[in-house]
Amino acid sequence: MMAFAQTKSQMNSMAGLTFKAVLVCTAYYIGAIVGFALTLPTYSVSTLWPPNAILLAFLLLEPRQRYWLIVLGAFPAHVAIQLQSGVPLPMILCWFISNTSEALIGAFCLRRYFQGPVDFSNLRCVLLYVVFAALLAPFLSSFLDAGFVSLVGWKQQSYWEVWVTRFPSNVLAGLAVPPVILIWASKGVGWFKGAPWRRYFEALLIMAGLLVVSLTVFSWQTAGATTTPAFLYLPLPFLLWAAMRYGAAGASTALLIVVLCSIFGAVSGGGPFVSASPADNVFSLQIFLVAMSLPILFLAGLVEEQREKSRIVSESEIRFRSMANTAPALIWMSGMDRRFSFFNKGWLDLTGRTFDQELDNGWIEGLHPEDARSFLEEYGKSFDARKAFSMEHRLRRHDGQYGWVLNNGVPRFELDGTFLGYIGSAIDITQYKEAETNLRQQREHLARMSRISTMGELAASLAHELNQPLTAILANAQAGERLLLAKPPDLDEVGAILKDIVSDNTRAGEIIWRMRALARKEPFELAPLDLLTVLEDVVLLLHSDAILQNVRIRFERGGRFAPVRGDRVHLHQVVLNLLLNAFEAMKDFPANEREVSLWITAEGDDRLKVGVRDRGTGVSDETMGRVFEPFYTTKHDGVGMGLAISRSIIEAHGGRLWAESNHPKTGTTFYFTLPLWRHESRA
Amino acid sequence: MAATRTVFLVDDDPSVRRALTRLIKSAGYIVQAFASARDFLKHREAGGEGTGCLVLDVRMPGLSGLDLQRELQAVDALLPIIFITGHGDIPMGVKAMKDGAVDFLPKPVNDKNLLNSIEQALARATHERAERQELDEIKNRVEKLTPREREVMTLVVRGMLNKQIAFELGTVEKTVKVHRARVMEKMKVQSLAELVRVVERLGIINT
Repeated sequence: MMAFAQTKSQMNSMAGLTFKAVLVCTAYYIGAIVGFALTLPTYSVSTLWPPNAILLAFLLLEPRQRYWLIVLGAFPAHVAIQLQSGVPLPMILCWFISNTSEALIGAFCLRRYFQGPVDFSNLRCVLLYVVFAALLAPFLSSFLDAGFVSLVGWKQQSYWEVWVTRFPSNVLAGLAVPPVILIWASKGVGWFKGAPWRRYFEALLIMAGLLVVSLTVFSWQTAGATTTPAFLYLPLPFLLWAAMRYGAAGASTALLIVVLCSIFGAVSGGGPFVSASPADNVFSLQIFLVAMSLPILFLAGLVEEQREKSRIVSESEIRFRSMANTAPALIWMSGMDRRFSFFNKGWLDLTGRTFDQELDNGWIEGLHPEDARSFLEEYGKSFDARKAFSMEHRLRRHDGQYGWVLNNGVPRFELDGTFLGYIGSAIDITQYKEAETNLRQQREHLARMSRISTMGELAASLAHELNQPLTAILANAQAGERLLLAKPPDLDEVGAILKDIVSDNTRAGEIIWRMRALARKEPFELAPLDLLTVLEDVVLLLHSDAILQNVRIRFERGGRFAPVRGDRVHLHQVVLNLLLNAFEAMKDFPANEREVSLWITAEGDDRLKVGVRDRGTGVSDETMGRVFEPFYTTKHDGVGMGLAISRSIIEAHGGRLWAESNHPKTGTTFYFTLPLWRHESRA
Repeated sequence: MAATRTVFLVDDDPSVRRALTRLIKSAGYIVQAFASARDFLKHREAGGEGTGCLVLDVRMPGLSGLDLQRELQAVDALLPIIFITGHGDIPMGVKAMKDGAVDFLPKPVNDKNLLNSIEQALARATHERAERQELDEIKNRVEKLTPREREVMTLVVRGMLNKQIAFELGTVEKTVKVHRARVMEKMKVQSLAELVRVVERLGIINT
């Protein structure tokens, strides 16, 4: 069969076709000889008639267009073999028609429902073969055959006698012979080559055992009443062994051995099937063999199907693992019990732990203590809802340091929608986080530098602001001294003086506190904040500067507002910048026109808006687009960082800072928005 | 004439205002304090007490201390000013002094400096007031003279003799003598020298 497979490519050539025809002819001829050999003495009909089955096997190996070639090849063999047995020519031709019709019915019906190689490697193939080729084809063709025999009047057999003897004989042949041919032809012997020597040894063991058992039971056992019926089951273990270990190829080969041995035994007068009349013997032998063949073929088909399935599964498993392990991500999986069942190599490399250590919930040990609760909550919540989740958290690396990962988990389902658990991938975002932190630190540093430089600009007016309470304190103290010298001293007034001294001292202290707050180096931290107090603080700080520059600050307090999410010091800076810019814008205007308005309004239901309006020179449309750029300034002594920093501060709050020209009056209005605290998810 | 003891204080900062009021009061003065220059001007326009001296903050919202000084000069108010300031810059001080300020004191103000200045200012106020009253009196007397008597007085002060005056006015010496006696009587002077001094103060001699 190896040679047959190798010459497949030459089949289209004339030589190939001829070779094929000759092969069919030879096989048919040999099959007929075997058939005759397996005919019981004193009985005219063969127990097993292989030629039809051989013809069927060859048809199934060829495309439909070349069925004629196979039939044609069989014809000379048929005529030759039948002439030798002295069959009259009309009978020979009739039998050829009935025999080929059987093979053709089987082939056409099977091919109608089944493409691909008929290699008995799955249940569907076995089932369709048994129904169409092994049962339906002999069933139908036997009517034709019996009809021909009656018509020709061959050996005066009755119609039903012929039908009843021919049908089981052909069924048995269809089950025993073509599977062997078809399987070995489609698989070749290559599949068996290269197997470990143990496989060969095992196969030999089965064959030897099967031969010994079969010969013992069917040949060497003396025929007659002494035969033990239970011995009939002795070949069964070997058949099952062959089917389980070697699939359809092993099963069909083993079956053929049992079939041949049993019939050969019966023919030579041994075994359990030689007791009654020849017809009964043949029939019971056939029934026995058919009954044994059918389940073994189905079992072999099932075994192959399962083996193929598990091979596909393990292949996809291997593919998944190799993919997961080479992926540049940390991959994990969890099951329906929420426990974690898989971690890829990338994960284990990062954490420096073993698979077994990470398994179940072992990896949680590596989760940063501050992140563990929120992660488990998020995971549990998503798990219950079967929803995807995405979280940033810290994970301990192999060097003991914590790194940041972005962890995305999605639920996984079977094809039929059954929930299986989660699969997740995490990426290392430590560097990104560090860059973000550096950027934030730099921004904070820049903001602080800018605050300090603003403080420098304000130094004169802040000194004045401090001077006021100091003046009051000194005057009060000296007045007190004088009062105490009077006779009698006015102690009530002295008491009032001391009270005033305390309150002026507090006032001076507050000014110093606000200045220090602006200069302080503190991390940017968002907290609930009353925006009104921020504006009030800055207006107080600028009180003296406003007087110095002859500017009136109109602070329109419009009731109380809900707290915003903000950082006090940084927002002070923004308001301070906007007010100082407004002062600057009105420098060249008459004193009575210098006025800055300042107000808060609600913006939608989730933010507040602050407006700062000056009546100054205004900003041209061209300049308006640039005022927020770093190092852009219209002041002769400005650095141009104020508005750029202010905008970055407001954006870090999740708000917006922009400017609009006033219409129809001159000047500019700056606005910024800030989100309210209650919309913060962590609140 | 009794010396004025009233001090007007203008400062926008309430606690400074209160403390200075106390200090000045403790030295025995009467203090009237105002939160802004505008308030003080209103008080004057309403005919309030107008004599004394003024302690004035330089930097204030609205009308500044220097603005107020200018306005008071315009109406020729006899009100010596002491400036106090948190920003003692020199050019501003020089200008204020040139415009007649009594003093220019930096905040915080020492009581001795402030009270000295106030005393000085009040003295100046008293003096100026006295002079002003004397002048007013003289003007009153002049206004009581007849035109002929005023002519005679003018010529007498120039040092002309009665005969020359009679010739100048086209009258007789005797008539001039009568006029001259009336002038001396109305102007309440005893001698020619005294008359000359009074008329000089008026500055009405047309030579």
